[in-house]
Amino acid sequence: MMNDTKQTITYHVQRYRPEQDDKPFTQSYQVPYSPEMSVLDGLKYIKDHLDGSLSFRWSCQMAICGSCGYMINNIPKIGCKTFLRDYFPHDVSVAALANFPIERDLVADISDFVEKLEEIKPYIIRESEGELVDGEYIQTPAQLARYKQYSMCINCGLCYAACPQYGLNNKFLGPAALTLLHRYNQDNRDQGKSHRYPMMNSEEGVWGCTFVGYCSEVCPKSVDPAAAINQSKTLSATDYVISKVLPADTYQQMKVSK
Amino acid sequence: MSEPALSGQSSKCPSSKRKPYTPEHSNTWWLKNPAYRFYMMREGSSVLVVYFSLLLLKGLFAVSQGEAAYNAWLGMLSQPLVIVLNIIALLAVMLHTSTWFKLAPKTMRIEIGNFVPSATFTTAVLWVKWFVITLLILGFAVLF
Repeated sequence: MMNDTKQTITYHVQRYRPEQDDKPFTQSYQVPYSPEMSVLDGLKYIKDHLDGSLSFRWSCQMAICGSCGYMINNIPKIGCKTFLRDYFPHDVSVAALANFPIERDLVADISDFVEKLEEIKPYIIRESEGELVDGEYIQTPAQLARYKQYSMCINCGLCYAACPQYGLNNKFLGPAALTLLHRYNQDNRDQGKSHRYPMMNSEEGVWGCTFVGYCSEVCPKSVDPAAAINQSKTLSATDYVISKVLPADTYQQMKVSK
Repeated sequence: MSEPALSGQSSKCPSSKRKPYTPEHSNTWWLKNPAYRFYMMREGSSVLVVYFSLLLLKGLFAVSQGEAAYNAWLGMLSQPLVIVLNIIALLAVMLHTSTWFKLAPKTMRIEIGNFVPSATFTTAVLWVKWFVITLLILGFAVLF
């Protein structure tokens, strides 16, 4: 394609070098533009040709690994799935994911998020193990449909950047962790709801959510964490009522058999 | 390479150059993003819903006290300031209702046999119910 004038787009990138800087600052770059480029492509151009010191996470380039989450024009987005043609000829600002400490440049410290994912017991818990000779645990398509959407999370952290409750108080378990919790509660092979109730029922659990719903808006995989958390509220409330109505030992017995 | 400033070194591990930066959380965080502004408007609409409920409750109480009290309440409603406030309250109630209808289906998973209605379907059902009930109430008010 004959192009006399190379089109460029301006990037305003958040920089932070812990060894040298007390706080982040913005650095601007002129990046050659073509319509098929993603924001990540532009960042890679900057690193390869303009400023090798720029640090940012990326991997698959196909919105499945969850690495390249950034604040693009102040909105949490996946870098490889956000296209410059939707911003051109206006400027693009890129910053590290909000509500997390900034490690360096565009690299956020998401260790709190990872710890919360591990905390909610994200695995099948059985009260009674089946025998190997009986074969696998059966799951119908209808049973799969109850949790499949919530299993699509790529752990990108955009929902935590979006969630104002997490921004105000990072003790809140947050959208992805609570969705993963719901995913296991809804799995018919799992018998561990009672193990997850204490986390769910707490103020840092589902009750820390006020259904802002922004997490579901930004989710690149349409997991709909807001729906998962608020469905869990029903479960949590039911559990609370049952625990108050039933005699203590009956409730304990019931928890085990669920 | 020059030594970094001592204040920048992590006290837990002096050889580490890590110094994660936590941005200050501003009190006007909700002004910064259209999604947050909308959320605050949605939550704020509940205040006007309460106001209107109290107004209706006062009207009901006035009815129980006789014609004079009821006419006084109607008179209060005709004040220009009250009319303006009630128009704003109406808009707030509409926002409250439309966001409620949009969110409520997400809080439950409905399974009627093999039929699993989508959230959009359930929202539409809620609007239809609202419309029918509104017609019934208005019809009742007109006829009697």
